[in-house]
Amino acid sequence: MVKRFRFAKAGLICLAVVVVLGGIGVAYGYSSGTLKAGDMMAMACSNGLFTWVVSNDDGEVTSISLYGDIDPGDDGGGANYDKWGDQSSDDPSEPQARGVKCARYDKDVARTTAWRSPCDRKEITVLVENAYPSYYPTVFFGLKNNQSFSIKIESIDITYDIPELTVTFDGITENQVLSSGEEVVGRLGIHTEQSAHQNSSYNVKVKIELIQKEKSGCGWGWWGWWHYRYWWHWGWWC
Amino acid sequence: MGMLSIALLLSLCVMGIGYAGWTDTVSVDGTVETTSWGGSLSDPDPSVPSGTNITLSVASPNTLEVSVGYAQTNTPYTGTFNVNNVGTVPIKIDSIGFVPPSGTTVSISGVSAGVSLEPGETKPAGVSTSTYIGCNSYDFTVTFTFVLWNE
Repeated sequence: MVKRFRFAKAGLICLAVVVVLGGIGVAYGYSSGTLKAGDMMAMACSNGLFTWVVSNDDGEVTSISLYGDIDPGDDGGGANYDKWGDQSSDDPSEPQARGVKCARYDKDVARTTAWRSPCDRKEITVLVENAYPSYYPTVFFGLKNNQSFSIKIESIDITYDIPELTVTFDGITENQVLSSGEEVVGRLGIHTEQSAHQNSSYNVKVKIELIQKEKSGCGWGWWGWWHYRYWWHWGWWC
Repeated sequence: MGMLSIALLLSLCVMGIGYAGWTDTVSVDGTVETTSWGGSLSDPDPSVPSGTNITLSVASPNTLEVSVGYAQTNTPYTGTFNVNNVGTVPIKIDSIGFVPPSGTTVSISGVSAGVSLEPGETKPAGVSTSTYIGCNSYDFTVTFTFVLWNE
C-alpha cells in the first residue's frame, strides 16, 4: 500500500512536469524568439512602441535619423498673418507626404502639436488649436516593434463619428507584421470641414491593437500539434 | 508534495500563457479645437449733412438699416459705419448687397467685395444715398456677407 501511495505521488509530479512543459511549449510556439529582460523593461517604461512623433505645423522642421527631414516647410512664422510666431508655420492646406513640402496658406492661424506619453510611449496626443474650415495638418509617427519576436497589427480602430472632420490614417495597416526591431511610419491627417462649428471641440481616436505573431516556418516543438489537433506532442511541425 | 506540484504547475502555466498571449494596445488621441470666425458692422453714424433726417442702425451683426425722411432732390445723404473682424481667423467680404428703392441711388465706400480683414481689424466704411424725387422718404438695408479668407 505504501509503495502504491508513493508511486501515485511521483506520478502526479511527473504529470505536472509534463503539463508544465507542454504549457511552456505552447507558449513558445507562439513566439519566434525569446523574451529578454530588456523587453520586460520596455513594457514597463521607456523605449516604448512609439519612437517619435512629428507635427507639420509646430514651427519646426524635424529630422529623424532614418528618414531625414520629416516635415519640410514647417519652418515657423507666417507670411501675411502670424498668430503663433515660431511656434507654428503657415497653415497646411493639404496632407503632407513625408519628406515632401505640401501646399500651405500664406497665413499662420492654427497650430498643431503632438507628443508621446512620457513613460510607456504607448499613447500619442495630438492637439489642434484655433482650427477653422479647410485647415489640414498632418502628424507623422514611428511605431517600432521593440520585442524580440514578431508582432502583428491585429486591428486599427479609428473613431471620429462626426461629419465636421475627415481623418486619414495610413502607413500602418491591419495584419501588417513587424519583425523584431522593425519600425514603420504612420501618418494621421485631420481635415476640418466647412460644416465645423465655431468654438467647438472634436475628438479623434485611433486605437491600434498588437499581438504576437505566430511562428512561421518549421521546427521542433510542442506547438504545431496544438494548432491542428489540440493535443500536445513533441515533433517537427510547420 | 501534492500542493507543491499543483502550485508549480499553475505558476509555470500562467507564465507560459502570459508569454504566449502577448498583446498590446497603442493609441493616437486627437483633439480639434475650433475657433471663432466672422464679421460684423458697428458704430453707425449719420453724420453728413448734419441735422438732416437720415438714420443708420445695425439690425443684425452684418446688416445695416438706413432710413431717409423728406429728402431733398439730388442731395447726398451719407453716414459712416465700421466693418469688423470679430473672430480669430482672417476673413474677407464676400458680397455687399442692397437694393436701392425706386427713384434713389445707393453706394458704399471704403470697403468692397474681396477686401480682407485680419483678426481684430476694423475698416471704416460709408454709405451714400440720394433721390431724384422731391420730398421722398425711403428705407433700405445693406447686407454684408463674410467668408474665411481661404474660401
